[in-house]
Amino acid sequence: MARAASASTTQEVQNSAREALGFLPNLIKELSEHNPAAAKLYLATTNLLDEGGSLTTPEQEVVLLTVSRYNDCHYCTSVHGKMAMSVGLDRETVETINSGGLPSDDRLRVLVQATRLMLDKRGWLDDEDLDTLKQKGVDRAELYEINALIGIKTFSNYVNHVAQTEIDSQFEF
Amino acid sequence: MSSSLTDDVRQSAQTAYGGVPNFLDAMNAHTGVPGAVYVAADEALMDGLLAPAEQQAVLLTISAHHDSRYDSVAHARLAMDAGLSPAAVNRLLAGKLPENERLRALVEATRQTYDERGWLDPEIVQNLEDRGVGRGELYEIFALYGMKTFSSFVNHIADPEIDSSLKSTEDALDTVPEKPSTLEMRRLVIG
Repeated sequence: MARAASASTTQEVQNSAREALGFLPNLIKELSEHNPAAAKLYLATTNLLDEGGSLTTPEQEVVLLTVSRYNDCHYCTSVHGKMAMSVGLDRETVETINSGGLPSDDRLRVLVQATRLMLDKRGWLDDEDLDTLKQKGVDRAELYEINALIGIKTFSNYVNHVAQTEIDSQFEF
Repeated sequence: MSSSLTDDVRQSAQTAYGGVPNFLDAMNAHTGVPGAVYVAADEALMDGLLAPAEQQAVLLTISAHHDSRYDSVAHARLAMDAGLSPAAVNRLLAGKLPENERLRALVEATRQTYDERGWLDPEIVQNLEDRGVGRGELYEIFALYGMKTFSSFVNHIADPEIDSSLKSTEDALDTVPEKPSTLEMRRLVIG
């Protein structure tokens, strides 16, 4: 038997999004109105990315942008294009990733390649893939973090496919 | 690797699952963030719209879709703990639809999610809603798909040993997915 979304929980999640981001993004509004727990999951997991793993914030944005482009998500490519520029990436890098190309920066280039390879092979990287990536500075830690980012972003990309979420003015790229 | 984050992940897992699954330790050996993401997602969805048995039916379907042995065995156990019969679990792992109408609708929604890569057209969405799978349930399925894709991809690489507490579950299952002999590339690598 399905459980019903509670209005108070919807409000709580929307308030915490406003506190964290300064406004209520349309994605969180859409999610929280239909399923507050799913909205809470999105906020909680994205907040954890700030904990500081092996990938820096600009590197995380590059991976998120790559996944969003891979899934053809109109909303997330704009959001992460904007976010990427706010953490120091240039417009050319963002546009290159969004058009299916590879960034000129060596580190960002290999992260985009690793993310696309992971998606194309549905996670089944073989020893040769792992050795090649390791030689280029992408180790297990980075790969596992890329997988977490793929999971979070695939979830939001699919929501946006169904909801056709309107891009917030704050996130227009 | 040990840090306050990995310690927190281990503590949360101990509380939630009664032990630390090998999958979490495999990630924690390298980085703490993914384990923390997994635990936080799991905790958030405890307040989800789907009942525990429904969530497990969806997770089992996705684990089998990804051919993840570790995830399939773990969710087979959790599904049975949540009330699914061994026969229902074996049906899901064999790629068959559940006999229960509600679970059948959820499993079909899950399959459409990954078959269409999330591009469910309004007709499909309406059809699912008519069968009791509304927008909220659909978004929860998307969340479960994201998280299980994440863990399956990690397990493809890490290949963790099945936890000792789950070995009897694995032995009792009719079918357990294995790595496919040929890999189907979904797209050509760009660049």
